[in-house]
Amino acid sequence: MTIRRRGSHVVFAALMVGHGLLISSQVTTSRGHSALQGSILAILAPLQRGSEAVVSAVGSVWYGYVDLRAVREENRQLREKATRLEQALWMEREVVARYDRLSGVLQLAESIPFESVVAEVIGVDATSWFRTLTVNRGLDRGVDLNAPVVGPGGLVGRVTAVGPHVAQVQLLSDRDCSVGSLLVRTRTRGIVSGKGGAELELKYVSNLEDVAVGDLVVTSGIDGIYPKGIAIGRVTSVKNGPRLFKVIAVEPAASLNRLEEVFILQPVGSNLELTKKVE
Amino acid sequence: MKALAVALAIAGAFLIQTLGGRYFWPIQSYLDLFLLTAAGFGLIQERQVGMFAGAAAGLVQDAFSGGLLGLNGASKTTVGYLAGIAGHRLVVRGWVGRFVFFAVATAADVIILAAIGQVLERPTVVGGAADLLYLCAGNGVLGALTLGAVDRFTVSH
Repeated sequence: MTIRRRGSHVVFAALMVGHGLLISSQVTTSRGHSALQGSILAILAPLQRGSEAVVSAVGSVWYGYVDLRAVREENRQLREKATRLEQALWMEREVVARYDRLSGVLQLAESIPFESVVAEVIGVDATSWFRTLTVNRGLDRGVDLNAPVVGPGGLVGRVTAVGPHVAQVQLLSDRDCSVGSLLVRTRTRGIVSGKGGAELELKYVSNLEDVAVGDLVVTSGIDGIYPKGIAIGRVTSVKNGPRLFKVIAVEPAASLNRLEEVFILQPVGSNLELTKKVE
Repeated sequence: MKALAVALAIAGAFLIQTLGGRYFWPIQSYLDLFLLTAAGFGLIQERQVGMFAGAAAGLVQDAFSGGLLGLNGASKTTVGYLAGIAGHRLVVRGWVGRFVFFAVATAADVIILAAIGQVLERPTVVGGAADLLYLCAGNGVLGALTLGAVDRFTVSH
């Protein structure tokens, strides 16, 4: 009996809902929508608001995640771009440095009153302290044996071997290298020799001679290899030796361990006076 | 059998209400035979019969009245359902009791219609209190007479 009553209640409710839907589908309220639509909206609006809030929250989290991924990707791309730009910047700096260096070389070339060949250093001695250089000019460009080599600052050395397209340059710092030299201030003659290290040694200057730190040393031209007046270096220390001669250390005028371009002069034995010009 | 009886009652109500109303105006103004069908079946039968009879009668009435379909359907369904409940719990006998029953059912129908109209923001009940009283009286009288005839018919058979 109870079940039957419940059944009738359910049927009654169903019938009323059916009538309600039927009526609502035909009626438009003053707010412009049908009563059915209004009823559905009234019922579903809270649900819609709730679901909207949930969807919005999930969407926010999702888009945050997507944005984070995008930011990571963008960050990676920016890092790559920064690396590329940094490399490009270093290359540009290198170009500028090369330009500055070549400008210096050009100025030097203009200051040297000899016919010369510009050569690029393509190799150095493989020992720990190199004493020879290999340059990219040889017989094909008129480079001769014993041709003097100068670089930015002063004398570098001489050509000791020549190939068709390359040449080997013995540096001033080589132990076997000796250059007839002259102290500009006192006109005292001597011989500059390499010690295998960064410094040179000015030999055969009497203990009686006036030599001071900072004195400029140039080629004397008496050796028949180097023209007179090319700067060799400056005196860095002077002391009297145990015998007749002073012990004089000379710092090379050219940076022998940082050379990239040099000038190879024609070998002459002339006595050109270049001292003033170099000074 | 119950369904056939309901169908016949609805058909008769439809014919009398529409055709008879052309020739005798009080039928249209002071009688609602569809309501009597719903309330009558609710009273003498079960509540389910009452509400189905009310639903069917109301939909027919809506279909031929030109109003909203489902308006009288909802009200007559409710009346039939409530009549079934009342008939099961109350002893409605005698002319007076039946008159009051149908009059109250008529009032309930009008109230439900008015309530639906309020929800729908449109008037569904026209006329004043006097018209409502006449309608209740007319339905009460006709309902009591109809049930008395049904009683006599049932006894004779």
